Amino acid sequence: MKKIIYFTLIVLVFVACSESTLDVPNENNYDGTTFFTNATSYTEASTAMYTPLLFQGLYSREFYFIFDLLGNDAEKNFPLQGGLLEFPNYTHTPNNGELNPVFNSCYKIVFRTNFVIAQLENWNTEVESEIALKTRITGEAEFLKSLSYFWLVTLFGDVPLKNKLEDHYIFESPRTPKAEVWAAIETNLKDAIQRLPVSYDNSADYGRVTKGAAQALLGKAYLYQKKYAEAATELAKLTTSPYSYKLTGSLDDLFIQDKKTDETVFAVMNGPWQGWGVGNAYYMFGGQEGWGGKATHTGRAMEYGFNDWWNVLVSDALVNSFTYTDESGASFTDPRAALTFYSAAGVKGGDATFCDECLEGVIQYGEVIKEGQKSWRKYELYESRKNYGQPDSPINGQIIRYADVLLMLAEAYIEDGKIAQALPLINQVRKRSGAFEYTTLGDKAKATTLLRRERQIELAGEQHRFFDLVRWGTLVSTINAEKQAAIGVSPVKDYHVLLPIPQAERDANPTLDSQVQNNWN
Amino acid sequence: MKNNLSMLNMKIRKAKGLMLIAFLLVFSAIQVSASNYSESTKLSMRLKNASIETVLNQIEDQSEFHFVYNEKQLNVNRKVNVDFNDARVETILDAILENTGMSYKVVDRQIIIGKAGDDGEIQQGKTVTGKVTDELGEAVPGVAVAVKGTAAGVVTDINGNYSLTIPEKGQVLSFSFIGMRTQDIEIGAQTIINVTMLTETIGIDEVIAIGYSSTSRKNVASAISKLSSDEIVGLSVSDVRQTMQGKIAGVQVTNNSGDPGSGARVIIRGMGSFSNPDPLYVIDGIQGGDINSVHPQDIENITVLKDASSAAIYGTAGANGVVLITTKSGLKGKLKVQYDGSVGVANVSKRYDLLETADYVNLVEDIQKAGGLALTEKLIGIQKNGAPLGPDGQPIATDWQEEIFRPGLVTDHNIRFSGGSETSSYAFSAGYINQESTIIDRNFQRATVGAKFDEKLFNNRLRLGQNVRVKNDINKGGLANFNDAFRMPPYVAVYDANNLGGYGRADKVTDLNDANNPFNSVYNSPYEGRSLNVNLDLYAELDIFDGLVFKTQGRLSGGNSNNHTFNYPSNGGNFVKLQADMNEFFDQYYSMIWENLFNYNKTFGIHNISATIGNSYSPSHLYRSVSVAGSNYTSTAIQNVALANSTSVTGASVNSGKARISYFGRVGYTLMGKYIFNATFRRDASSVFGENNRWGNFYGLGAAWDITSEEFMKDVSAISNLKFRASYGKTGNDNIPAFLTSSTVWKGSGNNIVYSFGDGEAFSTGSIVNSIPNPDLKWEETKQTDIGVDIGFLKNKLNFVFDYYNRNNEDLLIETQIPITTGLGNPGRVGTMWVNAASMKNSGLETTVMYSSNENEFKWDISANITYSTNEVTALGTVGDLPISKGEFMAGIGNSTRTDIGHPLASYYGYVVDHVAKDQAEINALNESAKAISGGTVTEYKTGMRPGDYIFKDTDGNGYVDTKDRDYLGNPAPKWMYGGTFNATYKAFDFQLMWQGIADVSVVNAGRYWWEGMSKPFNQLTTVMDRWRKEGDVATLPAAAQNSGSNLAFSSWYVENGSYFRLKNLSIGYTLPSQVTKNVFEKVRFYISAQNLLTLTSYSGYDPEISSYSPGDNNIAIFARGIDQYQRPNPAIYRFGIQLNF
Repeated sequence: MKKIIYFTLIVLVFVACSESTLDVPNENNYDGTTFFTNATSYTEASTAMYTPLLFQGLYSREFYFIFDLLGNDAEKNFPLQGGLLEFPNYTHTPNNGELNPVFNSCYKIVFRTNFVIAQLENWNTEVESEIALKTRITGEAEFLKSLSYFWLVTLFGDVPLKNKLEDHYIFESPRTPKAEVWAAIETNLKDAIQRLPVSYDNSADYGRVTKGAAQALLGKAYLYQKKYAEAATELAKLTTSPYSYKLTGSLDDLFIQDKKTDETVFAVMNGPWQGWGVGNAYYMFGGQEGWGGKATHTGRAMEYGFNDWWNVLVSDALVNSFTYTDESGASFTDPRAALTFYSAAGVKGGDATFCDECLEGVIQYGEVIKEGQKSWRKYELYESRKNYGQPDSPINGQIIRYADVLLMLAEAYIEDGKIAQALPLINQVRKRSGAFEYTTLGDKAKATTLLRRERQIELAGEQHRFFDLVRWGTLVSTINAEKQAAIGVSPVKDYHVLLPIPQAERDANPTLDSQVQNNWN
Repeated sequence: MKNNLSMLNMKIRKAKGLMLIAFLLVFSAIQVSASNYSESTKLSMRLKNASIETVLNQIEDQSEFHFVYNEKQLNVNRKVNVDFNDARVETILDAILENTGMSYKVVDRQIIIGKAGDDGEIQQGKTVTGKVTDELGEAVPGVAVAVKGTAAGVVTDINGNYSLTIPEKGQVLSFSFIGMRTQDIEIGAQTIINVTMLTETIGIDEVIAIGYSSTSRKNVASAISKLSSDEIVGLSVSDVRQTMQGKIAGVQVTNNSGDPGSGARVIIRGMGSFSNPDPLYVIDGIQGGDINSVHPQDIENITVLKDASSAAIYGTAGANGVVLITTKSGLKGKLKVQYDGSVGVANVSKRYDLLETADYVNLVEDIQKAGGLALTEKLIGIQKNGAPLGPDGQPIATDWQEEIFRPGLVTDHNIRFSGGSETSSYAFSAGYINQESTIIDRNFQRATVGAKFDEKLFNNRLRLGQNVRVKNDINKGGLANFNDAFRMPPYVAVYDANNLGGYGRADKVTDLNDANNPFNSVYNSPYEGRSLNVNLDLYAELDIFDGLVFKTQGRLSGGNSNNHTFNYPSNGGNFVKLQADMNEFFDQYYSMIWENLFNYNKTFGIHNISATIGNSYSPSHLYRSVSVAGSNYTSTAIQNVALANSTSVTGASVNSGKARISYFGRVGYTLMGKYIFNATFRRDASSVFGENNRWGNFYGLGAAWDITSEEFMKDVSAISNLKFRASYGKTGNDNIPAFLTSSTVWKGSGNNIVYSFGDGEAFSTGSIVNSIPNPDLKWEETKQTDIGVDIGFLKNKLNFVFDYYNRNNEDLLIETQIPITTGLGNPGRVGTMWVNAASMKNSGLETTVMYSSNENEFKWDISANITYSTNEVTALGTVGDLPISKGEFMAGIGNSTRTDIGHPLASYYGYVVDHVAKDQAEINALNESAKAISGGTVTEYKTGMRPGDYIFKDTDGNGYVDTKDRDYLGNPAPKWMYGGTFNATYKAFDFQLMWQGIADVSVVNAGRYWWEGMSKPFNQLTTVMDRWRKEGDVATLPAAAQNSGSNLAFSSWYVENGSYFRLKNLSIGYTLPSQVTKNVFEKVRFYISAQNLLTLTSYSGYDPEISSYSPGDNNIAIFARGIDQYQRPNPAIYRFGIQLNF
C-alpha cells in the first residue's frame, strides 16, 4: 500500500507538468508571420505606410516650423522657445530635438513600405480584385518610399539607401551616394506610375496615392536633379488626359476651408480631432501610435495662430514680396497677400479682419494685434473661430498641388530656354487669385526671377522655399540678405544647405559616423 | 527518534524548518496536559531481528512518544525481536532494553533513555525546577533544558516551567531555544534555577530559511543574512522593502520617492542585470505574490540569500539574490491579542530659494533679449509697476513651493489574534496604513488582512496549512509636480475665480510662461486608484518514513485594480481649455504556482545528511485589462464613463505573463558537525525564450569549516565562534518582456495606427511590423564566488561577519539601440533589439559587527555593517561594441550616462565645465589656441561660443571642444554603503537608533535644467542672480538663454556628490510596570519615534536618496540611475505609538 502511495506521489510530482505549458501564446499582438494573408490585412498594412506622415518631424508638427523658419517664410515671435528658436537664428545642431525626427520618421516610412512590398510579394492570389489591390498597394508603397527618399536626399545628401526589406536588418549601413538614391527614386516612381490608378472609385480611398502623384514627384525629382527636359516631359503629362487636375477657385478652398478639390495632387490627410475620449489633442507632441490615442490633426493652426500660441509671424521678407511693380512699373500688391496673412487695415495687403464667419461677428485684426505684426492666415481657422483652445486643425497638409506642378513645369521650361511655354503656366496660377497676367516673362534671367517670386508668393507657408532656395543655390545669399535687413545678422553658412546628421544615428551607426564631416553632415 | 541530545546541539528529528517552533511548543504543552499518556496509549508491533532504532521509530510513528537518548550510551543497532499486542510502552521498553544496562524514564510523551544506576533507574540526583522567561519577563515555552554531559533533558511547558532530575554527573544546565542565546548555568547547590533567555544577536544555532527547506545556521556555507521581527518593525513604511534599508551588508534599498505608497527598490550586491535588477521575493516558501500583502508587523523574519550557491535553488530567478519572507504563525496556547498603533506627522522642511517678481521679470527680459525678442506688454507693466494686485489689494507674491508642501498625517494600526491547540494553530491579523503625502494632495491607504492556519493530523504525521493574505490599496488625489510649481510666475495667484476651474494661470503670449498651475492639475483632475490583491497559500506535508518528508505547496494569487481620473472643465496653462472627460482602467489577474518536494534529513553518527528534491510549475498567469475613456459630459455631477456623450476603448491587454517549469535538488552533508558541504542543482525552463534556449541548468556548491568545533580550539576561550565559508554557483535571470522571440504585429497603443482616408476623413486603422524578433534569446547567467568568515568573541557577545564576493554576470540581456536608418521601432523612437551580449562584474567586501551587553539593568546591543563594492562592465555586444548611451532626461541635452567596457554601469558622462567665459578676449585667446593646435583646420574653440557661455574642458587636448571631449563624471552606484542599529533598554525604557548611508557616489540634479538653466521664461532659483550679464562678469552661471542648447548640454554642472548619512530612526519607548497593567494587559508600551530625523549631505537638492526619474521602468532605473528629476523627497516622520498585548 505504502509503495503505491509513494509511487503515485512520485508520478504526480514529476509528470504533472507538460512542456506545452511553455508555449505561451501572445494574446496581445498578432503573429507577424501569419497575419498578413488577406485583402483586409494588406489594406491595414498599406494604411500604416501613411501614418508616419503624421509623425514628429513631418506633417502633424515640426515640418512646418522647421522649413517655414529656415526658408524665412516665418519669423520667430516672442513665445517661440527652445529648439525651435534655433531655426530662425540658424543655430541648429546635430542634437536638435525637432530636427532629428525628420530623419527618423522618413526612415520609418521607408521600412514600412519595404515591409509591405515584401509581404505583398508573398501573396499568391488568383482573385482579380486582389491582384489589383496587390498592384495598387505596391505602387502606393513605391511612391511613399520615393517621397521619403526625396526628403532625405535633398535635406541630408548621401543617406543609406534601403530598397528591400533585408536592407533594414543591416545595422551598420554606410551612406549611399546621392546619385544612386535619385536613381532609386526614379525607378520606384516609374514603376508606381504603372501600378497606380488615376483616381479611386471608392470615395473612402480618397487621399491615397494616385498615378498623378507619382507622375508629379517623378517630374519634381528630375527638376531637383536639373534634368529639365525630363522634368518638363513628366510634369507636362499632368496637364493632359487622363489627368483632370485644375486650380480651385480660391486658395482658401485648400488652406482655410479644407475642401476636397481637383488641385490637390498629394496631401497629408489631417482629419478632425474627435475629442479627448478618442484622441489626445496634443498627440503631435510625440503621442503618435502611443499615448496620443486616435488622432490625425495638426498643431499648426494653434501654434502659428495670433489669438493662440503665436509662436511665429510672417517674415518681413515674405510680407514685402507681395508688393512689387507691375509691367507698367506701378506698385502692385498681390491679392494673395490677403489670403496669406493678416495685417492691420491697409498694411501690405493683408486681410484686415477675422472671424468673418463667426457667430459673434467680424473682428478687426488691428484691434487685437496693435503692434503691427503680421500673422499667418493660411492654414488658420480664424475666419470661423475666434480662438482654438486645442491644437486641433483638420486642414490637410498640401505636399504637391497643381499650382506647384504648373510652376515646376514653368521652371523646367525656363531652365530649358522654352520661356514662351512657361508664360501661360505662370499666368494660369496668377489668374486664379486675381493677380495681373504677364504679357511676357522677358529673357531667361528675368523669367527666372519672376518664376522664383511666383513660387515664393503662391507657395508661401507651404514649406517649399527652403527646398527651392537650396535647389537654386541661393539659400545663403537670400536668407542672409533677408535676415540682415530684418534683424541685422547674417547667420547662414554654406554648410546650412544640408541638415546635420542626427547625433542619435551617429551614436548607433559607427560606419555612417565615420563618413560625417565637420560634426555636421 | 534519534535525538542526539548533546551539548548545544539539540536536534529534534521531526522539527523541519518552520515547524520547529510550533513543534516544540506542542511537545512541551503535552507534558502538562496529558500526564497519563503512557497509561492510555497502547501499542502493537511485531518485528523480527529489528534494530532498537527501528523499534523506537515504530513507537514514535504509532504514538506521540518522543525519545531522547545519547547515541554514545545506547547501541541503537542492537537487534531484537518484539511481538506485542496493545502493550504499554513501558512493557516494550523493558523488553528491548533488557540486559543493556540502560534504563528509561517516561515524562509524559517524552521518554529519556540513559544508563541505569545501581537502583536500576536512570542515574539520578536531585530535581531542579524553575521558570524560563524572556527579557520582558514573559514565559518562554519550548526551551530545551539539558544537563550537560548527560542524556538528561526536558523542554519547558507552556508557562515556561520545567522540572528535571539531574543525573549524578550533572553539573551544568544548558538552556537553549531558537533565536535565543544558549545559557549554561552551574547547578551547584541550587534546586530552583530561573533563567532569563536573551535574544541571540547572531544565533549560530538559529534556524535559517534556505529555500524549500531550512537548516541550522551552523550548517550554512553561504552568505545568508537574516532580520528578525524586532529588526523589521520600528519604522512607518508603506513598502516592506523599506524595512531592510541599511540593515544588511551588501543590500542597498532605495526609496522610489517620498510619495506614500511609492515603494522601494532592492539591489543585492550591485546591479547584476541590464534588464531587471530585482531580487526574487519568496513569501512563506513560495515564490511570487505581492510582498506588500504582508504587514511589516506580521513578519517573523526576512532572510536574504546573497550568494549564488544559496540562490541557485531558485535557478532562473536567483541571479539578483533572493529575499525570503516568513510570516508569523500562531503559537500554541490561549488567545493572544497584540495591538500596535501609531499616529504621526510627515514633513519636508527643506526649501529652495526662488526668485521674486522683480528679479523674475528682469530674468525673463534677459532671456527674451538673448533670442532677439522683447518683453510682452503685461511684463513691461509689471516691471514698471510691480505685480498685479490680488483681491486683498496687495501685490500678488505667490510662494509656489510653500503652497504645494504641507504636513501629512500618517497612521498605522495592526492587530493580531493568535493561538493554538495541540493539533492546530491560528494567526489572524489586520493592518491599516493611512499616509498623506507631504505635497498636495495624495492620500494613500492600505488595508491588509492575514489568516494563517496550521493543522497536524495522524499524530502529527500529516501537516496542513492555509495562509490567506488580502491587501487593498487606495490612492486618492493627484500629486503636484513641483517642477510646475517652481516654474510658475510669482505674480500669478493660486486661485482665480475668473478662470474656468478657479485657478490662476500663465500663458506663453502674455506671460511668456506656459507652466501649469499644479493646483489646477491636482484639484480639477481628481484621481482615485484601488487595487485588491488576494493570495491563498496551501501546503500539505507528510512524513513518509524516518527523515523523509514530502511537501506539496501552492499559491493562487489574484487581484484587480481600477483607477480613474475625472477632468473637470478648466482653463489650463497657455489658453488650453480642458473639457470634462474621464479615463478609467480596469485589470484583473490570476497566477498560480505549484511545487512538490521531498526533504530528507538524517544523522548517522557523525554524519548528517540532508537532501531536497522537487519540482516547480508555474503556468502563464491570466491577465486581462481594459482602458476606457469618456469625453464631452453634459453634466459633471457624476463621474461615470457611461454618461459621457462620447466613449471609447483606449486599450486592452491580455496575458502578458510567462510560464516556468523547474526541477531542483540539493544535498547537504555535515561531518562531525564541523565540516559542511552542500551542492544545489536546478533545471529551469522559461517561456520567454525561444524553443531551443528554454532550458537552463544552474548549480551551487558550498563548503564551510567550523573551526571552533575542533579539538585544538577547545582551549582558545577568547574565540567562541570561528567559521570559514566558501561558495560558488551559477544562477540565471529571465526577467525580460515576454514574446520577444517571435515576430509581432504592431497596431499602435490601443489600435491607434490611424489615418484619415476618404471624403469623410474617418479613421482607417493600420497594422505593421516594427521590430525584429530574436529567436536566440537565452538566460542571463551569473556566476558568483563568495568567501566568508564568521567570528565570535566573548561567548559570542561580539561577532563579526566578513564576506568577499565576486559576481560575474554573463550573456546579459540588453535592449540594444539600433540605428535610426533601420526604420525599426516605435514612432519618434530609435529601434531596439534584445540580445544576449554584455558581461559585468560586481565585487565587494561586506563586514558586519555586532556587540551586545546584557549583564546589567542597562542592556544594549549594537550592530553595524559596511559594504565596499565595485561594478565594471567587461563586455558589450552592441552594434560595433558601441557604448550604451542613455539617460537623456531632457530632450536636446544629450545622453547623461554611458555604459562602456572598463567603466561602471551607467556612469555619468558629459562635458566638464571649466568656467563661464568672461569676455570676448578670453574667447579670442581660446580660438587662437585652437587654430594653433589644430594647424588652422579648426578656427573656434567651441562653435558659436560667446562671452557668458560655459567653457567646457578640452579633455582630449586637441585644442577645441566637440562630442569627443565628454568624460566620465561620476558613478551612480555607491562604493560604500553602511548602516546600523543601536538598541538599549534600561528598566522600563527602551531606545533605538538606526542609521544608514552611502558614500563615494554621484547623483545628477536634473532639476537644474529647469530651475537654473534659464533657457525659457520660467521662475528660477535665486542662484541665477549670479548669472553672467555683461562683458567682464566673473559669474558662476552662464548668461540667460544665450546658447542655452550648448550650456545645458549634459555636463559636470548637473553632477553632485550624492553621499549622505541619515538618522533613519530614533525611538524611545516606555513599558508600563506589569503590576499596573496585569489585570487587563500583558504588556503596555508607549513610544515616540522620529524617522529621517537628520540627513547629512552636501547635495543641494531636497533629498540625496534618489532612485531614478522613472523607478518603475527598469531600463531607466538601470541606465538613468541616480538622476533626480524632481523626485519627491522622503519626509521626516514624527510618531507616537502604543503597543498593547493582552
